[in-house]
Amino acid sequence: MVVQGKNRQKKKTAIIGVLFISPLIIYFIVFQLTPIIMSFGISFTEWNWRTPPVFVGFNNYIELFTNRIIYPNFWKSLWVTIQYMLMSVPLSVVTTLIVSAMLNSKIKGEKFFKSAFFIPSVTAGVAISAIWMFLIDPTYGVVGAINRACGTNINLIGRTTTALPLMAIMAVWSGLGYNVLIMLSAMKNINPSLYEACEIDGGGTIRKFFHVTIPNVAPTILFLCVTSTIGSLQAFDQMYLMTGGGPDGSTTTFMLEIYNMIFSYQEVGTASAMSYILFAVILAITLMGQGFLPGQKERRLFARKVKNGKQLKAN
Amino acid sequence: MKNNTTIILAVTLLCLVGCDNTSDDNIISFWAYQPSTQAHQNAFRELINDFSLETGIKVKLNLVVKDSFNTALNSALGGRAKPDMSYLDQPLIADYAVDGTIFDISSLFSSFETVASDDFFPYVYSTNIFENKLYGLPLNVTASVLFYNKELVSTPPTSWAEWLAVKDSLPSGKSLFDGIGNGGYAGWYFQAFLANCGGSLLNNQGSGVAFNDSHGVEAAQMIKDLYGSDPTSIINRGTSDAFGNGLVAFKLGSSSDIERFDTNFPNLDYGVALVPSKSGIISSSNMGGENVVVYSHSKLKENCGKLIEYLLKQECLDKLSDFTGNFPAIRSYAQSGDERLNTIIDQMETSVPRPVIPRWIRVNDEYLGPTLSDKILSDENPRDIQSSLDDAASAANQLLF
Repeated sequence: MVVQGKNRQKKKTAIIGVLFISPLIIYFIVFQLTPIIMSFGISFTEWNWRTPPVFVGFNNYIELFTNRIIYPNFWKSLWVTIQYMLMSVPLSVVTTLIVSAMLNSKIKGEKFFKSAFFIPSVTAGVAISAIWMFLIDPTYGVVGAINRACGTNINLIGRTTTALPLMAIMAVWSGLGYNVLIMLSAMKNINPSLYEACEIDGGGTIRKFFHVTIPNVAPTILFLCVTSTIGSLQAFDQMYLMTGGGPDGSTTTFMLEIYNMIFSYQEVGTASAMSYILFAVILAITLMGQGFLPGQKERRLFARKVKNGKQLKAN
Repeated sequence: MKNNTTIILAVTLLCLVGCDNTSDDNIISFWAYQPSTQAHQNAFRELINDFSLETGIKVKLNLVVKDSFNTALNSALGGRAKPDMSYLDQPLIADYAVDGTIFDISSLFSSFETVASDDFFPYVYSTNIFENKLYGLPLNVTASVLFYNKELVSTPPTSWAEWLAVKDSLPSGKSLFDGIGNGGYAGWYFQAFLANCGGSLLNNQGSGVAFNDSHGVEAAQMIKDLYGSDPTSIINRGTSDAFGNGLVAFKLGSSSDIERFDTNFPNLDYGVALVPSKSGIISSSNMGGENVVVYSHSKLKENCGKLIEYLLKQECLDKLSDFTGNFPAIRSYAQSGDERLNTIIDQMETSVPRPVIPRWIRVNDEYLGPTLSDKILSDENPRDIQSSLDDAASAANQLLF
């Protein structure tokens, strides 16, 4: 009787729990899962939104990979995105580490610097782009002043060699505050006795940084690497607002090309196929990143031991 | 508990009513660009109300911001809340006609008592004709003209030779020309240069692109010469609003630029002139504007025809033009007290439309425009004009034909 009552109570609790999370589940199914599945289906069709989609099999994927005349920007935009990732991710992680270490060293005005670094993270992308557009204008702003004073002709956004690095620097600057907050909280959690031990062993500031700080924040570094990589592969707004993908396609990222394909040319099937290619790239990088997580090797060994133990028992 | 159930039921019902998408079959759903001011939006609604009062035909006016109009329209056409008629940008007519989305309105137009095809500006009417069928009618139109800085240039040039010669008289730090833009904009403005040396975007048969012929090369060379390769030109080209800031002598622009310069640069002393042409060729330009179309799925085509005829009345077209900053598409209605605007009206007489061919926007934005702005006009690695245009033409032909 008591057991039955407990079971009923458990069931009731479970139902209430499901009811509480049901809005989120419904939202996830309707607005996230369903579009994801639908767009996968759409990627195998030719569709312009207005007329019913026509099934074309793998044609969109094949054309994207092989037809460089009809899709001149596919490979180019993929390469631009990878270049952007290679520039922004290391720069972002290194800058985050340096700034966080400085803020963690009991610097005066830590709160002020934290706020100052965090302001760009809570500022709208449009506003950031507008500020940078003014800063880098070759006639006005800071670059304009340098040009006038030194007689130079610096045009950062108008050159294929400088436009993408500039976008990467901008991204690092605008995301620095968020990354620093995460890194700083990881650094604050490091056991102070480790630093003391290092000091007793004769370690200075640099040695403490490389032998105590870095190993202890390695999971956070990896987390930032993965999230920054995903973010950089999805880079869109700065390029859309500031360069439109130019000059000479040097800032046409993969996401910008997907946007053009769907909203300018109404090639919904092709755009969906491109989205899934990007999804595959992101998934591969995320899985690779998980492989580098500290303790992964130990976890795998442990799992293998448990499995072997079970097999021995069964035998 | 009972109260809670009642509240949940009421909320659910409200949601269902809110989501109800069924519409009255006798009400025309009309989508148009949203005017920028509230006063103009109200005036637009009044205009439509007057039509309903006059004819007894009900119209639901849906005003959509121009920047997101095409996306919203496409989504609506793919869903259930489809409009019966709408504004449509000139270069989209062929795309919507080829897949049967829009209706051949020849039969409706033939019954119009107040307007005939000859009443429109030359070429404007033709932006609605695809495969010899009439898929829409023009409401507003504008053309590109030459803007010149009066402090740098006393008399605007009329020929290409005169235009290039102005360079020699410019003070240090000033450059000759800017404003062709990047990507799609460059492709659009290129047509103005092409027309001014006797060329066209498509060949006479309409079976291939022609922008890589000798006229195309000449037009691209002219743009390149206007920009020049000196550091000042390059720097001024990278500056935002170089013309407004008085750094360049000339730019191409249209009616919307007049309002923009008057508002943002009140001290700028500028004039507007016809686009210079090669000697012996009449000044020409490119054009843009809004057409109105009726959708094939509509059950109210007759009533849509009546609304279009109403919108083409002078008092309506004048108001619609005010909303967009463009001009009435009917030649006799386009008048202005402003000398600068009158120049644009004069330019429209000889302005040429973009080809009415499916996927032209992609050719313009992805092949032609970037070829000009990023390859031919590149100051880092300028490519040969002929071979660059040939590459763009080859890609365009593969996509279009």
